[in-house]
Amino acid sequence: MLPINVRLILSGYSIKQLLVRVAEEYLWFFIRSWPGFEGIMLRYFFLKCTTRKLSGFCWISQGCTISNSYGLSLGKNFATNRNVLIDAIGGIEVGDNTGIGPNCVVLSHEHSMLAQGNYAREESYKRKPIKIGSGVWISSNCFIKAGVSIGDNAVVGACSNVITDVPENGRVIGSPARPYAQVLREFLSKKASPESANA
Amino acid sequence: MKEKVFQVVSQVFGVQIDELSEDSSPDTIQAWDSLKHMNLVLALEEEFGVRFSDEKIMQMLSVGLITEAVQELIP
Amino acid sequence: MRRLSYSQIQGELNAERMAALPPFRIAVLRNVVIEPIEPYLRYLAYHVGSNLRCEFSEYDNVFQEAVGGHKGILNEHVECVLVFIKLDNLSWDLARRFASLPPERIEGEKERIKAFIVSVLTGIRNQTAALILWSGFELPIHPSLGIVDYQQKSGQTACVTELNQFLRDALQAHKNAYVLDLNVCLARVGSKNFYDPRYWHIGKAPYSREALEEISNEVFKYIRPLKGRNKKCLVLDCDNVLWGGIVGEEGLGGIKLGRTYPGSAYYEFQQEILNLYHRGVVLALCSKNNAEDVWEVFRQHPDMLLRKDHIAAAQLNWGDKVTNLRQIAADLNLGLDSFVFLDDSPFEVGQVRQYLPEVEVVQLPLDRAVEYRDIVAAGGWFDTLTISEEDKQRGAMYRAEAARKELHMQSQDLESYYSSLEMVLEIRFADQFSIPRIAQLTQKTNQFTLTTRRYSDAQIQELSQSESADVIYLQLKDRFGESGLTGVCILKYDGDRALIDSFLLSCRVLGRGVEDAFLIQCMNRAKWRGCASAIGEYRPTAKNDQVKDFYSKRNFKPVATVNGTGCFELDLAAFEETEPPFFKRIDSNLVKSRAEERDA
Repeated sequence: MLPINVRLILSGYSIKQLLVRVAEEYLWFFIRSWPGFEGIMLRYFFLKCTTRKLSGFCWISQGCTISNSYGLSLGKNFATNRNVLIDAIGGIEVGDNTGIGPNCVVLSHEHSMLAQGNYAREESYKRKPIKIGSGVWISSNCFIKAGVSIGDNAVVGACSNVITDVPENGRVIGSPARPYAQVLREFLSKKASPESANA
Repeated sequence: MKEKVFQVVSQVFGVQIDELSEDSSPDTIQAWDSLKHMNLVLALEEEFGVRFSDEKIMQMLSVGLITEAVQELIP
Repeated sequence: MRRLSYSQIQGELNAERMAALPPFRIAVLRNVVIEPIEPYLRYLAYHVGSNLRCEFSEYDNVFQEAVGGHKGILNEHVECVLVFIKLDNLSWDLARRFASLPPERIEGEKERIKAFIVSVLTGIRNQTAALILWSGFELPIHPSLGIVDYQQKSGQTACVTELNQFLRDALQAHKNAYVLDLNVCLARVGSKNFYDPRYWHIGKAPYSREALEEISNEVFKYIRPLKGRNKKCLVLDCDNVLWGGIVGEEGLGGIKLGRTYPGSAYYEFQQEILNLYHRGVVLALCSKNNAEDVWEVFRQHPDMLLRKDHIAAAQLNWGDKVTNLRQIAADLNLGLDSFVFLDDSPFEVGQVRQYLPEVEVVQLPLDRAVEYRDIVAAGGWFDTLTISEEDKQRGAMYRAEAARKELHMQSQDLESYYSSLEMVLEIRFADQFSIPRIAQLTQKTNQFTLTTRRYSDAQIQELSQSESADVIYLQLKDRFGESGLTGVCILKYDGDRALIDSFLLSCRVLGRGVEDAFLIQCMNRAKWRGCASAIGEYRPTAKNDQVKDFYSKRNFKPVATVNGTGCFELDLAAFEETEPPFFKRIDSNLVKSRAEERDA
């Protein structure tokens, strides 16, 4: 049986998408960690060619991996810190002035949670669009699940697992990501009773 | 709390907050008649979550007295 | 519609934007002080798009206002009359002194009250034809005879029930008059919160603020359908609304739906929705899921009450809900302002509220599925004044429409689509069974009607019996179901000219060549009667723009324009057209039966 990535490529990529993938594998390899502002510009020009829509300048730091960037649609002033993994196979739409912190993972595909051992099959592989609004700040080490929508001006706290939609102006943190006020409350109430803190 | 009382009075009678003072009463505010007084009492009770006695309702006929009455009931 | 506090409502209503709305007059006849209800009524009226003005009668002169001749608050401008008669003020004996009354006195009081009700009702009806909402008498919370009261037919509760029954019968005898059930409002709010004893003593105002809020909600359940603002379609999210959990992640076996906890909350919620379906509400789904996952639950889950047949339209994709709602509105041919949208996710709710303010959006509380059923049952968005047969069949009609659309997409061209529909037309003269529906159609149709003339039952009756006029109706049936009586044509004969006084079709049957066949049949009828020419009129209105070329496209020659009404003439002598061939059968007795009548 062929490895999963080869099978995916054989199963329905158009020529343009195939070329983009190849460029991402081999060309991006060179510019991924190109230092300094030069590197930023190289990565910017690469994305200008491949993404579906790119308004304005985008700042992609070193170590970022962007796959299937034909599905990516970015607004103005998009910025990522280092080592961000973005896979836009199901379509990722980002608004203006959004920022993503270091070591984040934004994947628009997933395997079915009901796969039960067959996660590699075609049926279990799902692509769902991610929609990130404008003015969003996603902190470090976050995971954004496929199909999620993050409203405008939201804040996603550090190390959080965003698996459901985040409302506009919402602040979420935690795994799974819950409203910040709620997490704070739980945290403080645990602090108040030391027995539960030890348990 | 006083600002809230002023706000409720302003909303019920439709007067601007700056025109209100502690001495505002049915004599100074034209819209304040006995029926509107009932609206005001119901609105205050909902806003503050209190319940006035019937004597108090008949007595609190100025913004100052209303503020006092609310103060007594809020712990 | 947000729930505002009493003072916030009064603050909102002071704004100038109220003045721009069309006025709406309500007259309140009462024998208690009930003025504090006005802000709640005005707020609800604002959401129905009206600037409400309440006019209260003098305290406790209901009889004089109703029966007296002077033009008081009841006049032709009033659109609704609320009558609040509390038994305590109408008959102190029956309300408070029941235990001490001898039986003759009880009977006497009952008779007096019944006479009062009848004369007030007749008096109001003589002055205005507006909607009358009369609040029913409240059953005593603490009956005068204690527990013995329930046991006997002569108790206080039985007495009040008898008066309520009489009131209901009296109101039903008059058209456009209904009982406002205060007992159900009392039950919802609870008697401890319904009455305000302080203000009852200070100023004879018996009801508390919560009671007034609930009563005004109940009043508007009657006024909304009157203004045509009742909602017609319920759009549902699927995950955590119809069942607990996300079906894409937990699978058919993992979602919570069943007759025991925790699925029972969702089961009862679905039952409530099914009730709405049988009342004529259209159901639609709008959810971020894979379509197969959702339909699998509908098909396979043993405790699923809703079936695919109940759903008139579904948008199950990963796009945003605003676009999906617009698509559903286009599919169902309903306006977005007749939608109610239920969802549990604050993100979706916020988005829809922002971009589609005319949709009523209800956020179902997170993690509180046990409350869903009460939220839907208490909503009151879909209440109508009557439930007709058509309402009960509405689900079936939408299914048929969806099936037709699918057939249309599969057909090669229009002709084969029409033939495969196997349409059967029935064209007949009006008879006693069809006259009400014909009159209703003339009153309701706004789009495909050439002259927009409105007729009442009596007028249609007169026309159908007259020798110089024909009232013809059309019934359409096709492979997928009956569309019922959906076309009306009224011909008036004047010498050798036939005047097409009205020609209208319901929008359900447009676009299938039905209008051509109907017109040809009617023209054949006119020709058979010996007319040499037929005159058609077109009166332009705001909504019937689509028919402005109707006559000119069908060999009618434009003749004149009188006061904006275009007249078109058809030469019947040269008229030889036949109906389009794709109809399976056309049942028409226009050209034969009148002859048989004449011979008979």
